[in-house]
Amino acid sequence: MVLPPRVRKIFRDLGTNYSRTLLVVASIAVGILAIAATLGGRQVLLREFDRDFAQSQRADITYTVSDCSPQVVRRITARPQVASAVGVRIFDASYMVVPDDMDDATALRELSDAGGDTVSLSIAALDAADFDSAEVSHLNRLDTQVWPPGSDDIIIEASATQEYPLAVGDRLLVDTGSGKRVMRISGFVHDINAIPTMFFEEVTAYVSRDALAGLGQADAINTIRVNTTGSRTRAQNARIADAIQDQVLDAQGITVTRMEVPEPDYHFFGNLFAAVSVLLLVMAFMALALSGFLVVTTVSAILVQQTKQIGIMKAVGARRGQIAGLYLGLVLCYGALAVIIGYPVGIGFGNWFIDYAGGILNFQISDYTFPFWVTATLFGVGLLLPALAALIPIIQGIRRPIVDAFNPEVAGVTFGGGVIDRLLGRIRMLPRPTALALRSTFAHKGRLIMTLITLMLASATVMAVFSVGTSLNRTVDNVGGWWRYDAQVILTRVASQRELERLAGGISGVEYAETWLDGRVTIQRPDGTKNDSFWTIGIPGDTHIMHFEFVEGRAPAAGEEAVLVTTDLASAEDFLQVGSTVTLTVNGQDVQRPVVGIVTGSLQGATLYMERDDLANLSGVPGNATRVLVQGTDGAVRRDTLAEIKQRTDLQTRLARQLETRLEDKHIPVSSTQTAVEQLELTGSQLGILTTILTIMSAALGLVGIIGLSGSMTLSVIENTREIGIMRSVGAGHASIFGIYITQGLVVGTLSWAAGAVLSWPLSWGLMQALITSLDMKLAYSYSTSGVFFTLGIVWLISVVGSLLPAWRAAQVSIRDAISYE
Amino acid sequence: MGAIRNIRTVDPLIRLRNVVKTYTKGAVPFTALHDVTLDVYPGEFVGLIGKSGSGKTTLINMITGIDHLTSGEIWVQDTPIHTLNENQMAIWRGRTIGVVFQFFQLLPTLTCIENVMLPMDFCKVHAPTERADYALNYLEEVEMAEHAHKLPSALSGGQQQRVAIARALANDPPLIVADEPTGNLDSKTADAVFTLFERLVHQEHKTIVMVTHDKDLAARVTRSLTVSDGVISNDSLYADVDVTG
Ligand SMILES: Nc1ncnc2c1ncn2[C@@H]1O[C@H](COP(=O)(O)OP(=O)(O)OP(=O)(O)O)[C@@H](O)[C@H]1O
Ligand SMILES: [Mg+2]
Repeated sequence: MVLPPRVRKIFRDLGTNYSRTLLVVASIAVGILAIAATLGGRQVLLREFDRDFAQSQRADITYTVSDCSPQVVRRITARPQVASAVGVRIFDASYMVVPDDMDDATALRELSDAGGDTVSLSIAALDAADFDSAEVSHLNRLDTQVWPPGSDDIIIEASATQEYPLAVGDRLLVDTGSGKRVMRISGFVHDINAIPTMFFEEVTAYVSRDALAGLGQADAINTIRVNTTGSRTRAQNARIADAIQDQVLDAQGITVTRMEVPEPDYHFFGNLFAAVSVLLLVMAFMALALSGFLVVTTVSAILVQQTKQIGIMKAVGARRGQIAGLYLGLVLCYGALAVIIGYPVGIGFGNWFIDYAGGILNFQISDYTFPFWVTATLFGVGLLLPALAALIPIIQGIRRPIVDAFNPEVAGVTFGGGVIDRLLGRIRMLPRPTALALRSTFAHKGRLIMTLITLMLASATVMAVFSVGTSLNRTVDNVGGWWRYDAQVILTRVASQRELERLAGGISGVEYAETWLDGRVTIQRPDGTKNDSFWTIGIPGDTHIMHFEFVEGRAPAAGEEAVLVTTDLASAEDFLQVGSTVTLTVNGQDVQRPVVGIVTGSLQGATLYMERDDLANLSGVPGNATRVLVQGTDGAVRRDTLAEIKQRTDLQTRLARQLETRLEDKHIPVSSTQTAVEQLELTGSQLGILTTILTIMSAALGLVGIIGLSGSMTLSVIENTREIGIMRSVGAGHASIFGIYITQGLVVGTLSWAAGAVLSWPLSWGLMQALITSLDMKLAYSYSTSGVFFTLGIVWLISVVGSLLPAWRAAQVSIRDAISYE
Repeated sequence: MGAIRNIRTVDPLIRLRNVVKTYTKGAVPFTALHDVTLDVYPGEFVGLIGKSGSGKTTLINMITGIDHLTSGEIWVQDTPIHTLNENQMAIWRGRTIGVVFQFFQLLPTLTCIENVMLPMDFCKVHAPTERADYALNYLEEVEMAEHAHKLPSALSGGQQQRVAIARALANDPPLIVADEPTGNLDSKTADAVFTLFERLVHQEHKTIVMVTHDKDLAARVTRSLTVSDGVISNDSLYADVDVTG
């Protein structure tokens, strides 16, 4: 096939001006990459989360009951509105890893006294047949050698491996308090409804019913999970739940200690996930804006360079349509190349990010395909956006009279007209090369502005991310100020307040001890439905440990019968307002309590606080508690940063260990211990997820910035080839030419940084507002001034890196090139 | 002078009537052409001379339609080019005028032969498969056939200008307009290019309007027009023109 010369010209332009081609293609491709990671990442994460969650068949109703037989489950299953039901036994335990060179018998005898690391376990014992039942609380098999597990096998929820190095075949000494047994890890499963280990430092595990006896557990069910038929609202599920309780459980004399009917789409990560998704959306928007500017700048600059050639072609008879077609074709070729390169790279990067985020948020990605509209956006950014960007310069180019096309004054560089130019012209002290660098920076106002905007958006994002990070750290510090304990121990069952306080107070180094009570309370909504998916904690009215951050109201005084709720609970149940009265069901009894205050949540989950003795009385355990919290020396002093609190790590760890031993000596069963440092690190790691994701994304945007700067400078080198040659001919060495371009880059970088600093304030504030809304948590806001200066460092780095290639190119220009340059 | 023209038996190829060109882009509007009226006949080799800044390029740009006139009329063959829109102008120019520039203005990414084929391509002259043969013929005519597949950057100035002339001939236009085509060439090369123009007038019966500063070359045209301060101050006919061709 014979290609007409004009088409050949296009391909020749692509091939011979490879640096321009590379530039445009890189600009478009990096935009595609950034959008793929942010927008594609977000949509796939949302979709896969929903899919994984839907597939898990999370129970619509969960009863915590007194020990009963599987017979009951069968009765529940038989009910018309029940799709399926499953009975399990859930109990707390702990494990120690058995070293390879130790046999089981030795481990049983000696390991617990060796004083190694103990990790909390929450074990669910399932009927062997239920391991494959997908109908309620489906487990996703990842790597399972024995399935269903045998009586000495234990299956671990995969999120544990992020925190602890566990592998199939490892042996664990499992201790339930009433029995010890060495069990072999026979596989891993994924359970989206299990709270990932990193959040509460607790490993979720699954065993078969056969293992119960060996672990000293009764072979009985204590938890019943039910799925209702069809898709129902929470209120409808709650009515079914009540009916089951009345007609099956109560009728059989089974005590229901807790009934959970969650919102059908409620997931404990919902808030965090919403926050991640909002952040990704903001970042996607920034990526879109950034790459939009970049593509427009680059494409129009390339076309401006063609002004003269357009003139020549018109002079030899080309019509406007032909020229427009030619250049649109060229731009489409650039776009197609960029898509060919940027699309797979973007998908690769997006998938890496999806894997990473899916990993920390503990859900499985089974399909990485971007939704069609995201792919369409990527192709749009790759093909349509450049074409649109090209339209203006193309129209300008073909409208320009041929005479002007040959006139460099009109076609390209103008310097000397504007205010800035005159100002720059007046600065006399500058060395010539610097003056030249400054003047050529300002020669192309339009492109300078576009480059500034691109870099400004990038640096504003980086600065905003710094501020978000600082604000989140400040929030963690604040949380540290709210809970002023050093160590706490949570019991598996209630114990006498007085005895706990006495035992704790007797430990050397403990200055103060306080006991709290964890309760089980259900809230009745005005419409008659119930909510019990929140924590209930009874705290003494004269607490020294808890320093609430009040949004409104106050805490119940000693002996006062009132409740205090966290912001996340208040926003889930909007009838909970200070001054309103709420009906609680505690221990089967309905009572009325006024709401006296709302406090900031701390990512621990929605919580209802009551006065400890009020809760103890209602729960039928007067004088008892489930937690003991202690302060060591200076424990009550407010410490302002996590770093300061961390200085007490050793003290806290010692107190926790002594407290635990002390209680176990008195046969008070301990469920878990926690130090304040651990609790803060936990909150920190949850909020840290957000900072990490933001940092990854801002790095992608920074890349767009580098390419943007590099591109715009390369264009300026190409355009100024003749000037560079002239400078060479009057004695400028490599170093001076190099210096001019690096200076140019630094000037542009610094200007963008200054503009970005201004923009970063509202941007970071907006990001924090978005986080506050999605996390239902009051977050501290603190603009990071040090981040602004740190960003200046990054921007300078970006500027130098971005200018290196163009500067090198400029230094390569020979006088001969410059003179023969067309 | 007028008497000579009156005996011509054919219509003029180019007719300028009261052409005024005022540049308005500068701070003060500047009138570069004042009421120019001129006829150019087929087969003439017209040399435009005059001091720098007198308005030669401006006049040339009016004839080629590269720039717009402020008032007056320009007819080429029977086309009132002052009424054409940009697109009509492009098509008309591509088929009617071959333009030669002082700085050659070849497209740097196209080889010589491709540069010559470009006007044919735009104006759809000749079948696509035949264009290369025609282009090679034109290159032979300017003695550049052996360089057909080189890029312009590999050629000397005189060679580039010859390729530019071949490009101007590509659509076989009756009129060739050149603005200082020898201005950037040494005298020997300039002489060769000029000889080429003479051959085009005498053998191919082209009409040429050319600006030149070179006194020696200016003496070899058939008609010499002197431009000063935007008017044609002198019009000398040196040779009879064979209009029968
Ligand atoms: N775009 C323009 N805007 C304003 N004035 C112009 C423009 N182009 C040319 N002129 C002025 O018009 C006058 C004629 O210019 P022109 O280029 O036609 O001269 P010329 O005879 O071709 O000169 P030279 O021999 O130097 O090429 C000059 O005084 C010039 O300053
Ligand atoms: Mg001129």
